[in-house]
Amino acid sequence: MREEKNLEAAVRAAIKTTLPGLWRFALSLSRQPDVADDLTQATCLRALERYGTLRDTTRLDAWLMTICRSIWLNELRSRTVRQTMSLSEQPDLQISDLKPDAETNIFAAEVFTQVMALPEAQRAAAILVFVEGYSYREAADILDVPIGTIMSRLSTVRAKLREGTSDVAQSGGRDI
Amino acid sequence: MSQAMHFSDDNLRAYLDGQADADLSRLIEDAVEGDPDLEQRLMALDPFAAAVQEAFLAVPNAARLAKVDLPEAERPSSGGAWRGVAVAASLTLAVGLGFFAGRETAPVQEAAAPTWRQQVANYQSLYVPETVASIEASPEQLQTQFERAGAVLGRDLPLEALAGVDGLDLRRAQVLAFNDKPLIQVAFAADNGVPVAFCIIRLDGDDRHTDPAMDQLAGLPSAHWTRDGYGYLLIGGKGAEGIEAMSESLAQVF
Repeated sequence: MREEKNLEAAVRAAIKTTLPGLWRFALSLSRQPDVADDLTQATCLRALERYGTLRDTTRLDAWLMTICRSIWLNELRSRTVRQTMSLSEQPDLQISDLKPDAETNIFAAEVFTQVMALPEAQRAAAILVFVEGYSYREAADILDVPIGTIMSRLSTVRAKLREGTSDVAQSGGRDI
Repeated sequence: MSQAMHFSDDNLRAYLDGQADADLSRLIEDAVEGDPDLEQRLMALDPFAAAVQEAFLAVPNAARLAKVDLPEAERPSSGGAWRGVAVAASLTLAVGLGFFAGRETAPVQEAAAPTWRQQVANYQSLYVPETVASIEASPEQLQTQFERAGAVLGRDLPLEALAGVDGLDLRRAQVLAFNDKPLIQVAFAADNGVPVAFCIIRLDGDDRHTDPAMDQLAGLPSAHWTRDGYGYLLIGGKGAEGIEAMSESLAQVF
């Protein structure tokens, strides 16, 4: 029983630290902030419901991402895509829509818009690797594809960003 | 057992810039499957990673995350009792119901993680238990390392405070630098042997005071705070809980 309590506490702590990244991943899947809210909430509840089935507790953050993807694919994706299709001429999501209260770096805004305009599979790979810092193989596990697929998706992402963003935004990317 | 193929940084940059020919691209992609070091080198050289990260770390804001409500931790005695709560709430989102409103569930989200923390995290993610297990330093050597690190930082770095952290075995203090600012990495092995690092950087001209906030960087749990012109980062281990508890303890000294 004590072990179960500890596991629950570990899952809650993982939720707390992973929450921003989880929401970003949910946004990368859904492209819609409101759906990302739903998906994040559902993921956290599912994790608290299912932690008893966990075998490996070393990477709870990756486990949360996997749950998120599973709920998206199995429960939310078709509904969301249907609704999106019925809303014609929906404007592209801008970073200022999510961060109206802060001054936004123009190049960051440009990159944000470009990434959000990518197809779902490429968006998700870019967010997991570039933003959340997962390795290619970890991202491959979360998205349930071969590692080569992740690399190929990221190559496409880079090519599109190269075409679509200004030189300054690209050089900003190098200035780590 | 085939020997790992070596690719120069120029090869890898050409691949990342889309300039590599099909043969080189295929060789690199094939090699990455069995070569985590190569994977890390590619990730570190990626020309777009930092720009995309900067753009996205700005979202979501704390108010948005505060909408996420979790059931209270106290659970009924029988196993599986979450099911009722979870099913009732799943996909209908408790936003607006407010029955857990005011609970502190959302970590404070900064506008963007400073790149020094991400850089440290990328470096730390390469550490394995064997890395810290192989570091041997006598008490005298540790004392010298701490004195040197303190002198570079321009502040006292009390060895005794870091030698006595519960659950952490002190291994080494190293002088590094980030963008010409001194950066000290104090390496530990946690009780289970997993590497943990405590890093201090001098933030010239930035005197903000922030309390420890949790974050996940490069897949590792971390806590960071700032005091009197210095930034602190505790990162690694196997669980966010441990890092949170240790950061609270360290923030009383640093």
